[in-house]
Amino acid sequence: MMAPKKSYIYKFIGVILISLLIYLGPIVARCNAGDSGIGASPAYIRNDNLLPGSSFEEEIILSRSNPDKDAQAVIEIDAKDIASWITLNPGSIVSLPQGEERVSMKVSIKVPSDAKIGSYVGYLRIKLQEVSSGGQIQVIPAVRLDVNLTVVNTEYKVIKVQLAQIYDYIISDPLTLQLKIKNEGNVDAEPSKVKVDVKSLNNTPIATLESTNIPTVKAFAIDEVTVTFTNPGLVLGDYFADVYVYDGTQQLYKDTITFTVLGQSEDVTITTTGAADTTRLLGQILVIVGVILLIVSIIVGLIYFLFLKKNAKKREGSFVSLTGQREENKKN
Amino acid sequence: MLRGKENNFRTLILALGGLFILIAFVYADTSDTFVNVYDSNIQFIQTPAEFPASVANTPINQSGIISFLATATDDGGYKYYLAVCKTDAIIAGNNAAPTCINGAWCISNETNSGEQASCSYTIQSTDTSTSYSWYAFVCNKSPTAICTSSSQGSGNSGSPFFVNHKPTLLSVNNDGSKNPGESITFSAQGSDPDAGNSLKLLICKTPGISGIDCDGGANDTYCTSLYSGTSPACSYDIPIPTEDKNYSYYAYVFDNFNLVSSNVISGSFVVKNVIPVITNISLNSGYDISLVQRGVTDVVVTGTITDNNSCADITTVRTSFYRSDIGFSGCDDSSKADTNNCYPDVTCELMTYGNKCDGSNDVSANYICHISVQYNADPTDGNSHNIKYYDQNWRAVLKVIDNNGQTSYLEVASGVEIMSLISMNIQSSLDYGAVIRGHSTGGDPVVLDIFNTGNVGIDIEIAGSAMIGEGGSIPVENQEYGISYFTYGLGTDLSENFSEVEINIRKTLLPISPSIGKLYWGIEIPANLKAGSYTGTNRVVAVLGEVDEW
Repeated sequence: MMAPKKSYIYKFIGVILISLLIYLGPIVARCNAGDSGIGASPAYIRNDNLLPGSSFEEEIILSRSNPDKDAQAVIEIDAKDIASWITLNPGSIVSLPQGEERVSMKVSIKVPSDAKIGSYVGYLRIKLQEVSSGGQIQVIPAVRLDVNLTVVNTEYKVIKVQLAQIYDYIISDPLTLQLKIKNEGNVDAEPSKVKVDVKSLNNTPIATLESTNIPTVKAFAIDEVTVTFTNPGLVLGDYFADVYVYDGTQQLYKDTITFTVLGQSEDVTITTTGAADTTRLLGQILVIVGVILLIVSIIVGLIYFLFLKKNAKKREGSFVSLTGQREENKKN
Repeated sequence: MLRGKENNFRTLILALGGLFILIAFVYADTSDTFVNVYDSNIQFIQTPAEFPASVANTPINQSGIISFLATATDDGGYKYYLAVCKTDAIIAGNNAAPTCINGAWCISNETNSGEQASCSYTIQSTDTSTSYSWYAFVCNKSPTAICTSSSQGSGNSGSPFFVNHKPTLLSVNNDGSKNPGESITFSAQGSDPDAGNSLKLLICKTPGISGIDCDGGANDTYCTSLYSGTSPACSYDIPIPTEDKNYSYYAYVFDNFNLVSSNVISGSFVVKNVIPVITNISLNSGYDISLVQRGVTDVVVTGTITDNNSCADITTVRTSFYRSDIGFSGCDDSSKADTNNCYPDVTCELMTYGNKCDGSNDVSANYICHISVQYNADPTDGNSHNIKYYDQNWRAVLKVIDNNGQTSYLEVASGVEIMSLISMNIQSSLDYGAVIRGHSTGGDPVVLDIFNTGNVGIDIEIAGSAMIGEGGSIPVENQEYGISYFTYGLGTDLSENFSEVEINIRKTLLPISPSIGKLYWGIEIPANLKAGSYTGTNRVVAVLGEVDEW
């Protein structure tokens, strides 16, 4: 049977090891995944419907899963025929600050008005520039974005409605419909008509509002546009609205929205949710948990040895005496 | 002398006999009626009148009070009584109130001569006739009291007075269970003993009335009908929101003289549970999603839940987020979770600002859901040349369950793209160790692991530089590489120009285990190179791999 003192010690060591495993596990895993890395999204820049003289902008999200130190992304343009079409914002060097997992940069493409019809290719290489960790060969990770551009002479109209919203409004104000529209075509465009069927909460039709006065969205852009209906004639209360967006006879979008008409003294609360821009790393959470367990284990261990040692000594004394007795017996 | 006494006695007998005969003649003319002795000294100076005056169309309600007023004077200054009798017959009371021989409606207190006397009568339930005659007398309070002849007043305030009787509520029904926002109709059947009366129905939320209204006022009232024969009906618009349960009601009828029925009928009606309605679904606010290399991206779904029974009815809101081809049916359960294409059954929470749920009087509330999307989620941007699922997008469904287990679903109106993410992780240095000049790494190449930490398949480009040290340089082409084990001399020479390598590192399928490609490296040291340390830079660039080789 294991002596009590040793069992406590083994248990204490076990707790320490588990804590270290939790703390170091993600670090070890990260090491296994490579010391450095960089990502870019989207993985390409492509436009198959550029008109001479047109332009568009692509947002590239640069990311690092472990931004534990400042770094830079250096962008090299490798595009013989179209290098002059490309502009980088903020420039060919993008700061990647410590702690920032995502950094945005923009690539603007402006097609000369005398560009010839045809396809053009090139590359953007984005390399991660960090402080060298030493070693014989410094390995610099990078990603390559393939640039594929096609200049055409045909107008191409494609609009998509991503989202429709009607915000709560005060009764004396107009009803405002906000549309998020993505124009994937190569000409500025807008939907031809919107229709809003307003209903009570028990689906009784109340009013139908229509408008053809819809702002234009630039080619290759996504934008929020507002369609205003003055004097909609709605009394205070909650409503459903079926929103229809048309391009000619084609229905582009249909959705049901809830909104409230408020009295003069009520606050208008506009609730918006931003696009996803936060990230979590399970490893960081595990690290924190592991550290806490490690600290607790050390404290518990110290308490044991400092305050319970007396008791341990008493028991040890008896062992010693027993051992001594055995030794004496052996001599005898 | 004796004869003289005998004569006196005979005379007395004769006189008494004559007196007796005289009295007999007098009383012989009477019948069963009493003789009313009128004292011409008391008289009405104000004709008796009802108060309020009652006629056929303004009767006195059952349990109501009718009063009679009159003024009289007595020449002797005696006080008097006003007596309203049911018949034209009264007996004066000496120094006391008179007595109506066949019953009185009322008799006043003694009143000073010249002052107005009044008395009242409460209509009883036993007064079942429509009208009752009355005869008013004034009688003085004297030792030898006398009464006037009767008077029945005149005009509307004269005899008779009219009585309105209570209606009876026989039954009340409603037209069944309703949803909030619908109208429920209560129909009653009543009866009224007074011909020609119309009935009005009143439906209260709690028992008790005050006048012709529910005693709790408008808030205690479901509905009131118009007067409508004996079958009145009224409707109640059930507001939104209204909790789904049984609601009690208490029904009364009134006749057109606002006399309430003697009975009340109670009952209940049911407001049904309705399915919650989902609106305003927003997936990442309509923006395409860019992921973080080897990380997790928070994708937000929001929506408004409207329940006409109240937002407090909502028990569960969840969302599933999936690539469009998978569909909600392929991602409606946690067992179908797949970081590549399906994030099912994520619990959503009530938003703590804006459109919150303010209890049972609130109809809608906003919910927010956070989905942790892994870096290896399938991209849906691009086209057939470069992205595998270019013709799809990502969608979300909100699923709502209320406290009756009713479930509703709604998919977002417009999906969004998950953008392609090209990414790799690689160790930051490559060490050949100590190599004797004139020798190479031979059959012992150094291995470099390349981890695919994006969501696309990748190949690589490689370029390098000469290694520089104190003894000179090692030409770039002295380094060789390969995607499989090789003995130096059989690898590919490194160049200062980029060379693409078809390493075909597949798209990562499990985020905790990125796809790995191995790059083998070897080097040959020039024979005449001075011993020492030499360093250089090699560039490894991830490039988008062919779609077929993801």
